[in-house]
Amino acid sequence: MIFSLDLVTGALSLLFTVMILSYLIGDNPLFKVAVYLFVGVASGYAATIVIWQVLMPKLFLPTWNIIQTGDYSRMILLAAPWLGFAFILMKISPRLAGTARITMAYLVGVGAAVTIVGALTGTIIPQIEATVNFFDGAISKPADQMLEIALSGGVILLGTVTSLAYFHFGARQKPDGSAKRAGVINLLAWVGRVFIGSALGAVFAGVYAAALTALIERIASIVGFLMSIFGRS
Amino acid sequence: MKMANTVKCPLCGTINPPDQKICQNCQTPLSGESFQPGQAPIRKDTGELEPILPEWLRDARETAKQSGMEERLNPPEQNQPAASPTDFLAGLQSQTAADDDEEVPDWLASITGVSKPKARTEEPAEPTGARWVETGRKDDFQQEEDTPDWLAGLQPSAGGAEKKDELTSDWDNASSPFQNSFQPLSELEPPFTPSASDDTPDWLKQMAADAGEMKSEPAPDATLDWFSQPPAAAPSAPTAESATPFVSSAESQAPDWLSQLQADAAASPGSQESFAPAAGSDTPDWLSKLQADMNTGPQEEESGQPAYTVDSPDWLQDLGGPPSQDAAPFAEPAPAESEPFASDGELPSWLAPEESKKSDSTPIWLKDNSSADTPAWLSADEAKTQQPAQEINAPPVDDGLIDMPDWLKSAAPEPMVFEQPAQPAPGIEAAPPLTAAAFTDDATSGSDDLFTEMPDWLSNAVETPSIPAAEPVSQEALASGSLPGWLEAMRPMEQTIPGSASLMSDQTLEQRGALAGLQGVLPAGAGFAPTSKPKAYSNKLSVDDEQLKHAGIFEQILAAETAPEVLSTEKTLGASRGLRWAISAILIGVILVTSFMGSQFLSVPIGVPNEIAFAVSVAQAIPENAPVLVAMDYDASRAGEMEAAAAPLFDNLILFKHPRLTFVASNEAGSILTERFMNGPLAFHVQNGVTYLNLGYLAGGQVGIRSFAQNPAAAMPVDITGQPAWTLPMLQDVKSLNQFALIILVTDDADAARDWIEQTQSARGVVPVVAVASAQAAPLIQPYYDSGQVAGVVSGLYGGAIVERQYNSGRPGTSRGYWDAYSIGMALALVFTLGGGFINWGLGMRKQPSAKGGK
Repeated sequence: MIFSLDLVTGALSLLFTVMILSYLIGDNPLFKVAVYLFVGVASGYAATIVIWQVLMPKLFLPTWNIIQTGDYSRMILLAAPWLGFAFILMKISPRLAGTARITMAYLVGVGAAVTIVGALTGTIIPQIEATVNFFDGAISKPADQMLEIALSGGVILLGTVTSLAYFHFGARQKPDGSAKRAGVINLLAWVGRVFIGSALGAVFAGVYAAALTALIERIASIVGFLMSIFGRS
Repeated sequence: MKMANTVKCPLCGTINPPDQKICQNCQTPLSGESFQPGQAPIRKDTGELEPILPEWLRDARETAKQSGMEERLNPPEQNQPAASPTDFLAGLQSQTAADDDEEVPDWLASITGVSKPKARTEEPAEPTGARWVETGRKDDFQQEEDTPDWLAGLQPSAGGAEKKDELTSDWDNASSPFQNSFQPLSELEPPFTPSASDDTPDWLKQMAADAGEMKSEPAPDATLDWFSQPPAAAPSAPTAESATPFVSSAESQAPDWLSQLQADAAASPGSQESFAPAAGSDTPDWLSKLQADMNTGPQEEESGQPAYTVDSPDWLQDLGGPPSQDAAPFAEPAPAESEPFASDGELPSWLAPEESKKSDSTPIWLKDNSSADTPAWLSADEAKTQQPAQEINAPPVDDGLIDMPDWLKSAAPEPMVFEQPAQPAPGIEAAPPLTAAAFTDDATSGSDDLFTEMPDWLSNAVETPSIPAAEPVSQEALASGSLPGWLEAMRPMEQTIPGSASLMSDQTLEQRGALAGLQGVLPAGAGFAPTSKPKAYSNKLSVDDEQLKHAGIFEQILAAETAPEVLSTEKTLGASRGLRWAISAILIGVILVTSFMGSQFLSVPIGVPNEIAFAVSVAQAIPENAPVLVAMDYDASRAGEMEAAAAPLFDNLILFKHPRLTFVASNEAGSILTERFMNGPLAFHVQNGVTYLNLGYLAGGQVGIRSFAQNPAAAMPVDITGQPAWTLPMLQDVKSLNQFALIILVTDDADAARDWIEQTQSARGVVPVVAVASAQAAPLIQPYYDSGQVAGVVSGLYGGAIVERQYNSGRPGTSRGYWDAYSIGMALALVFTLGGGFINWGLGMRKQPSAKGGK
């Protein structure tokens, strides 16, 4: 009897799907075995990907090429990666782990700068501009469209303002020592709670929809595997 | 019955016959009476007390014991040390050494009441445990034969002499007749009674009666009362005190009978006639001769030459004789095995300083006397004899006790030793010695003195040129300097001594040791060391009933504060396992049924949202065979949803535009999921020759994305197979990001979509971005669509089904195959959500009335 790759992968997928779904009856060894196996395989696969798709093409092979060609002038560009690589490897030794701080500091600093710049140029400023310019051109449009734009823009503006107001925690202290937010802020915060709740509900629905889709795909895969087996037999 | 006929020794417990008066074992009187007049001190074995002795004393004893052994080996050398010229007691030593019976006056021998030395030969051997402080040597008693005949009658019994021990001999060996007055009479004599009338011999009483001053005679306590103390009270007393000769420089140390004699002499100064009748028949001849020679004495004193008159007793002549080779210098009573006073060279360290200063063999207590030139009792000062009785009874200052250890002092007659006023006084060395001139004046001018004719040995002492003349030393000075504070603190029976309270304010100037020169640093009072165990106090709190009541109330308050308050919690609907299993069974059952059946009875929504419409429009607006960058960033768990959402769009795009697809993954699994996507839902395109380029994993997160946006060729130089990517036909004429015709984001993570949107914001230019997102990421990507940063969004299975149905004629059909199960599942979720909400609302409505009623 010859087992095809599809048969093996189908059988393993069926097995591990059942093992994961066994969590419905509680935590059990089958579920743990499946989880541990997935974690291990994912880690191994990630390490393999890093070695073969990052280090090899971007560090080892260029270095090998330089050594082979003798063009050591290009080695200057590889000095920083090699130093960073060596410093990170120092974490293996607790005594020399401090050396890795140089590389980590560089990575964190660069990452923070990139993140801030990207957030400013890619999210904050464009979102402000979009909110401000939402009503641009609406006045020149027909009335029905203008009403639609006004309502849509109004809701977006209201949702943005009230959601920000909800996270405003400034308050004045009363003579009896208690603190209470201002009435306007309190009202806006209450409205903001509605928008925030709606957004979280939409996210939850999306999570449920995504999970349901994954479940459907898994069950459909099992059904297809079984049907293929029975169909073949 | 047998016990009644026997007598048990109170000391050693030995059973003795009923007729035995002395214990056969320890020689303790069995009559129960401690001491009897004339009774010789009984030698006691105080070996058991040795452990309590100070260490230095034990060392000294050991050293002396060794030296004693040497002395026994060399008796002539030991008994004849070189005497200094000033040693006025050198004659005593010579007497002792020569064992000359004739040199001791009879009166001195008889007054002690001890027996002849010949009896000593019959004395039983010393017990091995005897100490030098207890017993002297047998040779110490050889002078007892010199007892004058006129005093021989005072000896009550000669038989007791056979049992006389070394203590008695010690006293006999003392050069002073004062010592002889303390000689124990005999052990067989009647008990000694410390009455004032009994301690004086009859002949002295008669003398006192003649003088008419018997009532003013000082109390015998000052002299002999200590001797009447029971041996049990002071075990070492018979040894220490008796072994220590009491040579006093103060006239108060004189015995009563001598004081009385002096008083008599004072009553009739310069009149020998008045003295002679007073002596009466009891007066010995030698005293009479002394009186007769009173007139010649001063001339002899003035001449400065020692005169040996025939009137003087022989023993005095010998004592006062110049030191010679034949006459051995005086030594302490022949030392026993541990005799520390044997010689100067063998003295213990605690006596060494004094000895070294004098550089002779005379003990310090004798040297002080020598410096004082004359014993006070011999000076016969008229004024002093008329002092009040209390002054006369004042404790004599015994300079020889200065360096004595405490235990010796305690054994000594306490009034003599410790009743000295504790006043700061210079030490012995600093104390001005009694001047010879004073003594001479007394001797010359005091024609009324009893002993105007001084013995030779006293005359030698007077003529000592090396001692400067100074004013007489007071008793206080000598006393305070003689007793260190630490010894005084250790002194026993201190509190019982009258006048000891004055010691509490002792400001004694320390003379020796590390504290030398300091004054009053060592408390000499009785409170220095506790004399009894401290009182045990109970740690139990004594409270009354009211306090207990209050304490109980306070405890109740504290218990109420610390007691945990039980909070009433609302009964919540727990996650029932049955409910969980039921919902799971329904969902799985529905999906299984629809999957097996392949049902498509539920229609796909007809309406197309704007974001989906714009996404399809943008995809269809790109040029033919245009390069399209696809960023794959989703996990394997979302592969089913993402493939179902993206496949229709890509199928449409490939069908109509034949784009050159370049895939890049911003997560580790993206590259392999790309292969799965292209070889799964779009497999038929690949099989038909559609090619694509998989650049693989783009490391670095946002930094990597930004790097790729700025220079794609540098960030991802090779594809997943390792071939240079940017030289391939798929990326022909593409060097930067803005050269791509379309950027499609396939992601299930809103953050990943935001990273791509943000980091490529400036690099992509006007290149449209279409997002194919998971249903859970779509709400967060929606703002970017509203802001125009994302041209269109296809979200989840819902968006894929719409694209598939509306724009792709139902191809590839993946979304449609899941749609029925998806629709039922969403409906069940809606039902369960609403149902659960209503149930909770109903439970809340039921609790509100009860809660209000409760209030």
